[in-house]
Amino acid sequence: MHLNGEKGIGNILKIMLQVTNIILVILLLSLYYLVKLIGIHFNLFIIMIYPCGLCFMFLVNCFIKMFNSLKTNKPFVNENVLYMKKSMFTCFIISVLVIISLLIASCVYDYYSLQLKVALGFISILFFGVGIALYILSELFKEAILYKEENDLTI
Amino acid sequence: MGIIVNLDVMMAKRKISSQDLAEKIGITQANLSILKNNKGKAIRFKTLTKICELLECTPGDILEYRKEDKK
Repeated sequence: MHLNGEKGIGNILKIMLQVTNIILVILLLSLYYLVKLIGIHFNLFIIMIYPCGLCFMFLVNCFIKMFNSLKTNKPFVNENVLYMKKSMFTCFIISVLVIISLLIASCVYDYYSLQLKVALGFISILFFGVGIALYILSELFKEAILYKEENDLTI
Repeated sequence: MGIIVNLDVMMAKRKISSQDLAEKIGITQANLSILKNNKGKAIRFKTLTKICELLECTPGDILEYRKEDKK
Protein backbone atom coordinates (compact mmCIF):
# COMPACT_ATOMS: atom_id res chain seq x y z
CA MET A 1 0.00 0.00 0.00
CA HIS A 2 1.75 3.17 -1.16
CA LEU A 3 1.03 6.82 -0.46
CA ASN A 4 2.20 8.27 -3.78
CA GLY A 5 0.76 7.98 -7.27
CA GLU A 6 -2.70 7.78 -8.82
CA LYS A 7 -3.74 4.62 -6.98
CA GLY A 8 -2.04 5.43 -3.70
CA ILE A 9 -3.70 5.80 -0.33
CA GLY A 10 -3.03 9.56 -0.60
CA ASN A 11 -5.84 9.77 -3.15
CA ILE A 12 -8.31 8.14 -0.73
CA LEU A 13 -7.24 10.48 2.07
CA LYS A 14 -7.69 13.45 -0.27
CA ILE A 15 -11.26 12.35 -1.07
CA MET A 16 -11.97 11.99 2.66
CA LEU A 17 -10.68 15.53 3.24
CA GLN A 18 -12.84 16.88 0.41
CA VAL A 19 -15.91 15.21 1.95
CA THR A 20 -14.95 16.73 5.33
CA ASN A 21 -14.78 20.14 3.66
CA ILE A 22 -18.26 19.76 2.17
CA ILE A 23 -19.73 18.60 5.50
CA LEU A 24 -18.06 21.57 7.22
CA VAL A 25 -19.57 24.04 4.74
CA ILE A 26 -23.04 22.51 5.24
CA LEU A 27 -22.65 22.58 9.03
CA LEU A 28 -21.50 26.21 9.11
CA LEU A 29 -24.30 27.34 6.82
CA SER A 30 -26.97 25.49 8.82
CA LEU A 31 -25.49 26.10 12.31
CA TYR A 32 -28.03 28.80 13.21
CA TYR A 33 -30.97 26.54 12.31
CA LEU A 34 -29.43 23.48 14.01
CA VAL A 35 -28.90 25.43 17.22
CA LYS A 36 -32.52 26.69 17.14
CA LEU A 37 -33.74 23.15 16.48
CA ILE A 38 -31.87 21.74 19.49
CA GLY A 39 -33.16 24.63 21.59
CA ILE A 40 -29.82 26.21 22.49
CA HIS A 41 -29.51 29.97 22.82
CA PHE A 42 -27.56 31.45 19.83
CA ASN A 43 -24.99 33.37 21.89
CA LEU A 44 -21.40 34.66 21.52
CA PHE A 45 -20.01 31.24 22.42
CA ILE A 46 -21.86 29.62 19.49
CA ILE A 47 -20.84 32.47 17.17
CA MET A 48 -17.17 31.62 17.90
CA ILE A 49 -17.72 28.36 16.00
CA TYR A 50 -17.79 30.33 12.70
CA PRO A 51 -14.20 31.68 12.76
CA CYS A 52 -12.94 28.32 14.09
CA GLY A 53 -14.81 26.53 11.30
CA LEU A 54 -13.45 28.86 8.61
CA CYS A 55 -9.89 28.37 9.88
CA PHE A 56 -10.42 24.62 9.93
CA MET A 57 -11.70 24.74 6.33
CA PHE A 58 -8.54 26.61 5.31
CA LEU A 59 -6.47 23.94 7.10
CA VAL A 60 -8.28 21.13 5.27
CA ASN A 61 -7.75 22.93 1.94
CA CYS A 62 -4.01 23.18 2.63
CA PHE A 63 -3.89 19.43 3.29
CA ILE A 64 -5.84 18.72 0.08
CA LYS A 65 -3.28 20.74 -1.91
CA MET A 66 -0.44 18.82 -0.24
CA PHE A 67 -2.08 15.53 -1.18
CA ASN A 68 -2.25 16.74 -4.80
CA SER A 69 1.53 16.80 -4.86
CA LEU A 70 1.58 13.18 -3.64
CA LYS A 71 -0.60 12.25 -6.61
CA THR A 72 2.05 13.58 -9.00
CA ASN A 73 4.83 11.76 -7.09
CA LYS A 74 6.54 15.05 -6.21
CA PRO A 75 6.10 15.56 -2.46
CA PHE A 76 9.36 17.40 -1.85
CA VAL A 77 8.50 20.78 -3.37
CA ASN A 78 8.65 24.31 -1.93
CA GLU A 79 4.87 24.67 -2.26
CA ASN A 80 4.35 21.96 0.37
CA VAL A 81 6.66 23.81 2.76
CA LEU A 82 4.55 26.93 2.21
CA TYR A 83 1.29 25.04 2.82
CA MET A 84 2.72 23.55 6.00
CA LYS A 85 3.74 26.99 7.28
CA LYS A 86 0.25 28.33 6.47
CA SER A 87 -1.32 25.32 8.24
CA MET A 88 0.93 25.94 11.25
CA PHE A 89 -0.28 29.55 11.60
CA THR A 90 -3.89 28.44 11.11
CA CYS A 91 -3.50 25.89 13.93
CA PHE A 92 -2.15 28.59 16.24
CA ILE A 93 -5.08 30.87 15.32
CA ILE A 94 -7.57 28.04 16.03
CA SER A 95 -5.84 27.43 19.36
CA VAL A 96 -6.25 31.10 20.31
CA LEU A 97 -9.89 31.16 19.11
CA VAL A 98 -10.68 28.09 21.22
CA ILE A 99 -9.09 29.77 24.28
CA ILE A 100 -11.26 32.83 23.62
CA SER A 101 -14.31 30.50 23.40
CA LEU A 102 -13.25 28.91 26.71
CA LEU A 103 -12.97 32.34 28.35
CA ILE A 104 -16.42 33.30 27.00
CA ALA A 105 -17.88 30.02 28.29
CA SER A 106 -16.27 30.53 31.72
CA CYS A 107 -16.68 34.26 32.32
CA VAL A 108 -19.72 35.37 30.32
CA TYR A 109 -22.02 32.36 30.51
CA ASP A 110 -22.34 30.29 33.69
CA TYR A 111 -24.41 27.43 32.33
CA TYR A 112 -21.72 25.60 30.33
CA SER A 113 -20.48 22.44 32.01
CA LEU A 114 -16.99 21.92 33.42
CA GLN A 115 -16.50 18.99 31.03
CA LEU A 116 -17.01 21.29 28.02
CA LYS A 117 -14.48 23.78 29.39
CA VAL A 118 -11.93 21.01 29.99
CA ALA A 119 -12.55 19.69 26.48
CA LEU A 120 -12.01 23.18 25.01
CA GLY A 121 -8.77 23.52 26.95
CA PHE A 122 -7.62 20.18 25.61
CA ILE A 123 -8.58 21.09 22.01
CA SER A 124 -6.64 24.34 22.30
CA ILE A 125 -3.50 22.54 23.49
CA LEU A 126 -3.99 19.90 20.78
CA PHE A 127 -4.12 22.46 17.95
CA PHE A 128 -1.09 24.25 19.43
CA GLY A 129 0.78 20.93 19.41
CA VAL A 130 -0.28 20.20 15.84
CA GLY A 131 1.00 23.67 14.85
CA ILE A 132 4.40 22.90 16.38
CA ALA A 133 4.47 19.51 14.65
CA LEU A 134 3.69 21.16 11.29
CA TYR A 135 6.54 23.61 11.84
CA ILE A 136 8.99 20.74 12.48
CA LEU A 137 7.65 18.92 9.43
CA SER A 138 8.08 22.01 7.23
CA GLU A 139 11.71 22.33 8.34
CA LEU A 140 12.28 18.62 7.60
CA PHE A 141 10.73 19.02 4.14
CA LYS A 142 12.98 22.06 3.49
CA GLU A 143 16.05 19.94 4.23
CA ALA A 144 14.68 17.06 2.15
CA ILE A 145 14.23 19.43 -0.82
CA LEU A 146 17.90 20.47 -0.53
CA TYR A 147 19.02 16.82 -0.41
CA LYS A 148 16.78 15.92 -3.36
CA GLU A 149 18.13 18.82 -5.43
CA GLU A 150 21.67 17.71 -4.60
CA ASN A 151 20.79 14.14 -5.63
CA ASP A 152 19.00 15.18 -8.83
CA LEU A 153 22.03 17.21 -9.90
CA THR A 154 24.46 14.38 -9.15
CA ILE A 155 25.28 12.82 -12.54
CA MET B 1 34.23 29.55 -10.14
CA GLY B 2 35.26 26.17 -8.57
CA ILE B 3 35.34 23.00 -10.67
CA ILE B 4 34.82 23.52 -14.42
CA VAL B 5 33.80 20.63 -16.68
CA ASN B 6 35.55 20.76 -20.06
CA LEU B 7 33.60 17.95 -21.66
CA ASP B 8 32.90 19.87 -24.88
CA VAL B 9 36.62 20.12 -25.65
CA MET B 10 37.25 16.37 -25.26
CA MET B 11 34.05 15.49 -27.16
CA ALA B 12 35.19 17.68 -30.08
CA LYS B 13 38.66 16.06 -30.03
CA ARG B 14 37.18 12.54 -30.12
CA LYS B 15 34.45 13.63 -32.57
CA ILE B 16 31.59 12.19 -30.54
CA SER B 17 28.11 13.73 -30.28
CA SER B 18 26.20 14.39 -27.03
CA GLN B 19 23.58 11.83 -27.98
CA ASP B 20 26.18 9.08 -28.60
CA LEU B 21 28.13 9.86 -25.47
CA ALA B 22 25.02 9.98 -23.27
CA GLU B 23 23.82 6.65 -24.70
CA LYS B 24 27.17 4.93 -24.15
CA ILE B 25 27.57 6.30 -20.61
CA GLY B 26 24.01 5.32 -19.74
CA ILE B 27 22.69 8.75 -18.76
CA THR B 28 20.09 10.99 -20.38
CA GLN B 29 21.05 13.80 -22.75
CA ALA B 30 19.52 16.22 -20.26
CA ASN B 31 21.89 15.01 -17.53
CA LEU B 32 24.86 15.22 -19.89
CA SER B 33 23.82 18.78 -20.73
CA ILE B 34 23.68 19.59 -16.98
CA LEU B 35 27.23 18.28 -16.67
CA LYS B 36 28.53 20.18 -19.73
CA ASN B 37 26.97 23.46 -18.58
CA ASN B 38 28.46 23.20 -15.08
CA LYS B 39 25.00 23.02 -13.50
CA GLY B 40 25.67 19.68 -11.80
CA LYS B 41 26.33 19.49 -8.06
CA ALA B 42 28.34 16.26 -8.12
CA ILE B 43 29.48 13.46 -10.39
CA ARG B 44 29.60 9.78 -9.49
CA PHE B 45 32.91 7.96 -9.90
CA LYS B 46 31.06 5.38 -12.01
CA THR B 47 30.02 8.11 -14.48
CA LEU B 48 33.47 9.71 -14.48
CA THR B 49 35.10 6.30 -15.15
CA LYS B 50 32.81 5.64 -18.14
CA ILE B 51 33.45 9.13 -19.57
CA CYS B 52 37.22 8.65 -19.28
CA GLU B 53 36.95 5.17 -20.86
CA LEU B 54 34.93 6.42 -23.81
CA LEU B 55 36.89 9.63 -24.41
CA GLU B 56 40.24 7.93 -23.69
CA CYS B 57 41.34 10.60 -21.27
CA THR B 58 42.01 11.22 -17.58
CA PRO B 59 39.75 13.11 -15.12
CA GLY B 60 42.20 16.02 -15.28
CA ASP B 61 41.44 16.43 -19.00
CA ILE B 62 37.75 16.91 -18.25
CA LEU B 63 37.79 18.59 -14.83
CA GLU B 64 39.57 21.84 -14.11
CA TYR B 65 39.79 23.90 -10.93
CA ARG B 66 39.55 27.68 -11.15
CA LYS B 67 39.93 29.85 -8.07
CA GLU B 68 36.80 31.77 -7.06
CA ASP B 69 37.05 35.60 -7.37
CA LYS B 70 36.13 37.06 -3.97
CA LYS B 71 35.38 40.71 -4.61
